[in-house]
Amino acid sequence: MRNDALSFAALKYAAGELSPVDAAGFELKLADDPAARDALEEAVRLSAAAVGQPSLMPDPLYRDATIESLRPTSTWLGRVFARRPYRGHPLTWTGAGAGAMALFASLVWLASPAPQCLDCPKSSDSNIVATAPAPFPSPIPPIITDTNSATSSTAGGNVKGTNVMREVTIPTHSTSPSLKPIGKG
Amino acid sequence: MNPMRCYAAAPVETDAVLLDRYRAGDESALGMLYERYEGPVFRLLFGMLKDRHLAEDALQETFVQAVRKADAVHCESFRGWLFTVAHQQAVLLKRKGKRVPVGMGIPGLLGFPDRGDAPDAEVIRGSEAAIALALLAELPDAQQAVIRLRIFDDLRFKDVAERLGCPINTALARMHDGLAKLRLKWEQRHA
Repeated sequence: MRNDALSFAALKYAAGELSPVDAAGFELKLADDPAARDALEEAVRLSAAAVGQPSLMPDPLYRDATIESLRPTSTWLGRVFARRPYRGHPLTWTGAGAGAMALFASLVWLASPAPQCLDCPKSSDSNIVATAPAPFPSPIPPIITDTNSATSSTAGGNVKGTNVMREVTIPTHSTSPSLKPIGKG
Repeated sequence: MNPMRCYAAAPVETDAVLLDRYRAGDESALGMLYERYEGPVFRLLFGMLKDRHLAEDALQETFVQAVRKADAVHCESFRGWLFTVAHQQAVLLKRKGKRVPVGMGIPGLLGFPDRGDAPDAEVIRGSEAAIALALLAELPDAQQAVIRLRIFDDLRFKDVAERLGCPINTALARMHDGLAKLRLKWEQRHA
């Protein structure tokens, strides 16, 4: 037996004619009452029939996608190579995306101008002449030597008034020879 | 005696049998279950969401959720379980703020002429709608009048009742019965 009140409420709900309060009440009924769900389903079916769509059905593609997503895949290898509702494999799309990014980065790199030195003169500036750099000052101050004591018997001969280095033997524990400037005394 | 007449029609497998077959690894059983319920569940979702694509998405999610958790329910109540999950999905989508047209009926959502358009010209655009219109003419006048005013003229049931000078429940009953007859005539025509 048809429940008129429920059928009419479903018709009005499907037609969008219930007030917000009544619509909320009907949706609460839908949560608990299977008869209300059936009434709404029938109201939609009948309303669709009136506009020439008596068999209002979803797109068949959804069926394939749903069954595919529920297909059990036991092993990780099976999951990797499992058929998917979309074309291609995730790894293929990942690789294609990485390749596209690499190509894009290469194009950007090739299209950008070469880096320039801001301190360098421009090639069109012909007034600048290259000059030799100034001599680097010696960090060791000149040593004034005593001319009398500067006379030595080394292979260097008699050298006066110059800063002479000679090889000496240091009477300490050090065994390696070292260079020592000749100073006073 | 013709031996071919001895064959009886294949018995329809119950939901419980199909679920057991699916659990045993028979994927075709899942396809049969889906085929059995995709229409009713989709129409329930469409009635609640008033959006075809949203209803299709919700239908897919409903089946995935329902079948994955089907171990927790009794096989005999699979239909009720499926509708419960569908209702939950629809409520979830509504709470997420997905667009749900307000104040629009199913015929309007399915592409019927808006208010103000010439009804006959719009209907004849599609052959299916033209057939529906032809079948509508075979209905009793009282039912025809309600359907025409509600669907073609896009009047609210309250206004339809007022126009026809009858209580609103009478208009609703004529609408319901008229649409049921229309659907029956359609099925007979396409049988």
